Amino acid sequence: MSEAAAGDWSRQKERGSVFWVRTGFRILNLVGYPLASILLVPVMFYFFVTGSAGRRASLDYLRRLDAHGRRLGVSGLPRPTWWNSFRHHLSFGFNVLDRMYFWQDRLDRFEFTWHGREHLTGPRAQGALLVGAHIGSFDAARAFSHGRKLVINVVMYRANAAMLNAVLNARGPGADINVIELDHQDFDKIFDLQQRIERGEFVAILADRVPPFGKPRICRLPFLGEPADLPQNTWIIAGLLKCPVLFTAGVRTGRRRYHVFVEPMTDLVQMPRRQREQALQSYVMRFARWMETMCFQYPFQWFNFFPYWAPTQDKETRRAP
Amino acid sequence: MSANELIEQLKALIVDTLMLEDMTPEELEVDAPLFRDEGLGLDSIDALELGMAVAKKYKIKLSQDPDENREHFESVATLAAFVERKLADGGVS
Repeated sequence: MSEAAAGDWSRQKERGSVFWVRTGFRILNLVGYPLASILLVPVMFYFFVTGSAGRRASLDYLRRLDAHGRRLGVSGLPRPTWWNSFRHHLSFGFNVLDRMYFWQDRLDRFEFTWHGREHLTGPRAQGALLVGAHIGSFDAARAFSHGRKLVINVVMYRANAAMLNAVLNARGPGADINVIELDHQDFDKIFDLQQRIERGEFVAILADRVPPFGKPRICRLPFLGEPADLPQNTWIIAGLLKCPVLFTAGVRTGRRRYHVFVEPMTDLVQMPRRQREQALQSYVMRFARWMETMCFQYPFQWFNFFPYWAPTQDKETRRAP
Repeated sequence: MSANELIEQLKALIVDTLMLEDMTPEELEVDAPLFRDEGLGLDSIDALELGMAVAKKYKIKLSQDPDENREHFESVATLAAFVERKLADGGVS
């Protein structure tokens, strides 16, 4: 297929998706939140019962969380049971449901509790890289740009960007969020991101999944006590951008209730030539420790329903259900 | 700006950007390969860093094609030729 044809095809697919996303929004708005959240339970039960891969991944995660928690003396963690795995699935379902409202800009229906908001809007706030994970709903973190002059650019890898673009286009104009596609070795894009940060904008990126292209640059490091492949890409980008990095996550803590965490990680990611591998490893390690802290606090908010600990070449189906 | 000035500037930029502590710009050979093992042995992250530094300093756009960029960043000489051509195209000196 020529490149132009491939582009047409993805645009066509995007247009098709826009239709379905709009239809979905309409149905949801007709049904209303209370009924939708009741219907969600049997829907997620169906996914839980039929989706053996997702269930296995969830149980696998809960098992490691439980074992690691015991080692570190963390109490109150869920046991790796089917019931808790179902709760994990249900919690993902609720996050997706809420996200439908976030995407429609209906943030006023939710209550957000902030931790570290001053790093984004305080007098000393400056453009920065927001690093997150598939923990809770990163979209909830967008709530701070709502009604403020705060620009957030979300970096996505090409394969995943089309769908989100479809969703955001379905909302119509006035979006306060830019989705930036990133391929490997994209000079211009990184240059563009750097200029945005210099203008005081924020760039958001999720750092817990290995990008779907090229030769992956990864660190195999313990996460919840067992080695997992974590991508270095985010930290390489951070090193090139030469800007402060903040850990960011929005977790669902109850019905229409979210807690948003913004935590400064470093003022500058440095990758000196001689100790580059070690430097990258230490950043990835800190990211893994941050994820662990979040997982201990909000065990049902970690949404990587694929064999996370499997070596990268075996990860053929690394998608959320 | 003369071709020699540009080469000197680029050498200084390479040493600065990549923090080649044990090298001075004078020691950098014009024709030595930058990214192959027998040369400086720089890697792809170095290439990105250098690419961004060059793009920023001369306000030029780099190619989106990694293979093409690899040719331009082969050595100081090819890089200088590339920057010179870009500057001429852009009409900025």
